[in-house]
Amino acid sequence: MAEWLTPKTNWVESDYINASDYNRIKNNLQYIYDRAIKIGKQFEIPTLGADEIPGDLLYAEEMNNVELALELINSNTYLQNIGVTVQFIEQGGFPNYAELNRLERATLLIYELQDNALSNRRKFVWNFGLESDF
Amino acid sequence: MQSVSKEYKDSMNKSLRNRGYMEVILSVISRDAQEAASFDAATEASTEYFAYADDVFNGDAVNSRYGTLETDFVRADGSKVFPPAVGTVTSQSAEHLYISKTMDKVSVTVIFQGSGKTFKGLTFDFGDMPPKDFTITAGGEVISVTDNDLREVFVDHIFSNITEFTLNVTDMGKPGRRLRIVSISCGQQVKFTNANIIDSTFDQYVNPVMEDLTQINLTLTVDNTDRLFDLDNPNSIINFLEVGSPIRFKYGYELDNGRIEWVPGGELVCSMWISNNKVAIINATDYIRNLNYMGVGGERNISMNTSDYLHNLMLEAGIENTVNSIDTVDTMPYPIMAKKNEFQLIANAGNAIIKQQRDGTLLVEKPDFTATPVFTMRFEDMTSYPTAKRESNIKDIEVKYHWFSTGLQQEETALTLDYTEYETIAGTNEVITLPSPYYTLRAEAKSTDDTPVVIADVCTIDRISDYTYKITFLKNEICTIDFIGIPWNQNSFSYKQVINDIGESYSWDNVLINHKDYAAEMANKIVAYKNGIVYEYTHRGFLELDAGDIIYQENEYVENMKVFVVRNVLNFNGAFSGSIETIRMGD
Repeated sequence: MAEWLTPKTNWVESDYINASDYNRIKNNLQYIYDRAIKIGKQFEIPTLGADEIPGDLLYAEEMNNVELALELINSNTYLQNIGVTVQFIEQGGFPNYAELNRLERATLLIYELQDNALSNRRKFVWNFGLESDF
Repeated sequence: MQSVSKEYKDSMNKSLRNRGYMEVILSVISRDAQEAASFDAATEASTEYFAYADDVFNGDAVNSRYGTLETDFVRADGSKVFPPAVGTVTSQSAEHLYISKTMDKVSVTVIFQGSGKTFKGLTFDFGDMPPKDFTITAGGEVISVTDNDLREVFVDHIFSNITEFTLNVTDMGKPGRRLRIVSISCGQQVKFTNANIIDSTFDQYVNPVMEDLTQINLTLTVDNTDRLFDLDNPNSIINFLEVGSPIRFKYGYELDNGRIEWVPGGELVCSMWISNNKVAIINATDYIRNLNYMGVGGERNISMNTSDYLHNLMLEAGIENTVNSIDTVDTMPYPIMAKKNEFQLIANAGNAIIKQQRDGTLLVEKPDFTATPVFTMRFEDMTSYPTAKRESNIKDIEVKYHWFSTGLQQEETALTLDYTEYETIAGTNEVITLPSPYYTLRAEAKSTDDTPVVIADVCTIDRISDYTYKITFLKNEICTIDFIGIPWNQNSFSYKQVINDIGESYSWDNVLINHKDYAAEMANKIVAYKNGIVYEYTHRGFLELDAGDIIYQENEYVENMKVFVVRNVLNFNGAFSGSIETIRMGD
């Protein structure tokens, strides 16, 4: 299972988008997807691929997979209002700070809802071997 | 007329002006080395798939726009874009600069075609992510640059007779970064600012009927107490300065809010320089006047669009240009003349003027006296009383017009070109120029024993213009070649107009004017110019004003008087001042 890293939810224009940021966004989505299908219904998301290293090329298609993954996780779990999925194109702009904030805040929201669901899950208590009157 | 802000206009019109600025960049680039430079095959192969590195040496490369996951490269402002997929890159979608495929440690080699090159300094533009540590290896010498954080790097070294150099990057500053090179210049750029500019004069001239060619001159006097320009010092930059070295300048004005508004000055070429221990004086001129090499002459082509023809002619001369709606005239077999005079001839026939714009490109357009000027020269802007005179007083004018015909008989004429017992070499060609225009040209050949030779086996003839043909030889042969062609018959006429009882007679002849109506129109235009009132005065200096502009000039008797700016001079010596020559044409 992918490792959860605290999302960056305070992106501003002057911040750099590095490989570690892309990996965090991608892996956090993988993390909440893995949890989602463990605690809820089964569904599929696009393959998000291996981690990038500094200097790697990032294509619009990879970023679209990230966008689609978030949309699918949300639509198959908590149906939160997480804004509009963006479609990136070749020679079109990289995600800006607003979109990065949307992605990471939405991921965090679903993560917290999952946490909440997991901690408040109803459990049936089995009292094996105890005598009782019926 | 340059675009300026309202804040600039408001502030410049005040009785007390703010501080002025000037910045000049002199490029002391070895054109010989620059034109011979290219990357070697290994460097070409090491270029990232979406980058075309050809433009690094010609100044057309641009900064990188494709984003990658290089360390601290792409900001979250959406300014960088996703790269195209592998295999889909075209010249339009490619990045026009060098980008290495590999990261961190990169080696790039530049080779020079032909003989060894000597120049002072190398200037690199590394774009947004300059390398931190690198070396330049050339001619057995190694120059090291460490702890660099500048985008533009000048390596101050005299490179003597080198055929190649290698840039070896050992540290890009942060891991996971590619090397980018936007430009490499064999030489250096010297910047002059208010701190060392003592005086300057920027003089523009545009003749409204193209009687003379458009001219721009810049005279710049700079402080030389640091002996930057020292002819006796072989290492001084002045010994690497060339006639034709580019010089770029701009003017600035401090607005009332403290911001400096910059206005382009011009892009000219160095023509002359002198220096002593105190000052250096650099003269620069427009590019057109140096176009003294001969053209190929014109050909009659009544279907040719004059605008396109002039546009292409200027492009062939290496000048970016815009040709706006000039009158279309038939292109005629005009004689071989200097390139600059070809421009003048065609612009004149098209009722247009040529302006060298401040970005160095040419603009050809018809002066529009019906448009509303955006600039008014007020009395309070003038620092001397305008002197008024007539350009001249024309009594009568004669404008010639010409028509070319082949005649009904279309008789062939033998040309006297000396190709007797001539040795032809297969694969070579010669350009022959004719004393008068020819509609067609063909050849006949005979061997040394007078036996006819099939000319189609000996050479082919292609028309470049009606004055110039190209002969391409197809075989090795010694033979006598006779050239025969049909000459154009030039029929010349005159349109005459009497203007006054007294004055001088004036004659105008442009071979491209081919109709009486065009001749009459030209006569009216010339009379309007020659009989126009010329004003000369000094003014407070305006950064936006250009020769060739049509402006309002305040006048005691004429409201909203429009004048054509024939000459405008802008002086800067820490403050601005100017002088102007305008002409009131027509009403």
